Amino acid sequence: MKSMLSLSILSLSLLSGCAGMRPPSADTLATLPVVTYPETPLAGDYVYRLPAGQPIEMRVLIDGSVLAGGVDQTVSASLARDLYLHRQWASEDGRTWVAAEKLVGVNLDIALPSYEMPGPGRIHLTVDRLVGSGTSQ
Amino acid sequence: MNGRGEAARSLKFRFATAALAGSLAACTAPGPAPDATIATLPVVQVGATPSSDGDYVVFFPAGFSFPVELDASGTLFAAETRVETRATLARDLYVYRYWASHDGATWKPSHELLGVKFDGGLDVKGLKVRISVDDGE
Repeated sequence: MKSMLSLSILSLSLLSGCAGMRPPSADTLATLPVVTYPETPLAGDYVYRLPAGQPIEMRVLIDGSVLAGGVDQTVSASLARDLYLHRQWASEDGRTWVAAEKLVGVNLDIALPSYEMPGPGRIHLTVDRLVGSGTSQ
Repeated sequence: MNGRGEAARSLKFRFATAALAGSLAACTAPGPAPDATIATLPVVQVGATPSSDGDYVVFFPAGFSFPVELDASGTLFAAETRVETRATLARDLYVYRYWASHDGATWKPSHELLGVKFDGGLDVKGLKVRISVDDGE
């Protein structure tokens, strides 16, 4: 029996509500400055680049009235490939752009201690590169 | 408007949370809590060994600090990241199968007593995941 304090958020995606819009042209985005994490953009529009291999901070917060002491933990993860972002669009090469939710799939699985699982709680964040998204390789 | 602030706001790639409601709905208990049955069951504090093989209620006392494992993985990441942290309960919590209670007498479906909300996104500071667990009373 599956614990009733366990829930899985399947197929969470980045900005799924924007599906159906046409991606911007590479020529248009090529005119924008590229800001690479962890640089902070100063002003105006830009393309944001998350470089492969560089630690990127992930802050995980768990709070709420049920908890007297929550969690505020920062961990680092590195990307396997470069990732370029512009508003709701994403690209792996900065030239071919698709809707972000077609390139990056996010799944969050949360299991709180429960009757069926009185051990540790578990939070598993899975971020997958969606194969066959039509992006250039 | 401050240029830096405007730029930071424009770079908000939020996770869609539409799937959350469906996930919680899947946790719906099969019916009202069997109060009469629950009242006859032994209460076993988390970490203790049940005295018999039969059914029992699990009791998590206020102040109970439970480990939470954070695990980030997926093909977008170069490597899996795993850390362990702890969270602490603010109130007593009794759990029996699909149902939960703060006093061991009044029972509700777990997803009604504990409201779990998820929010997350990406900004110039990196990835942020927030999970709120609130009393649904």
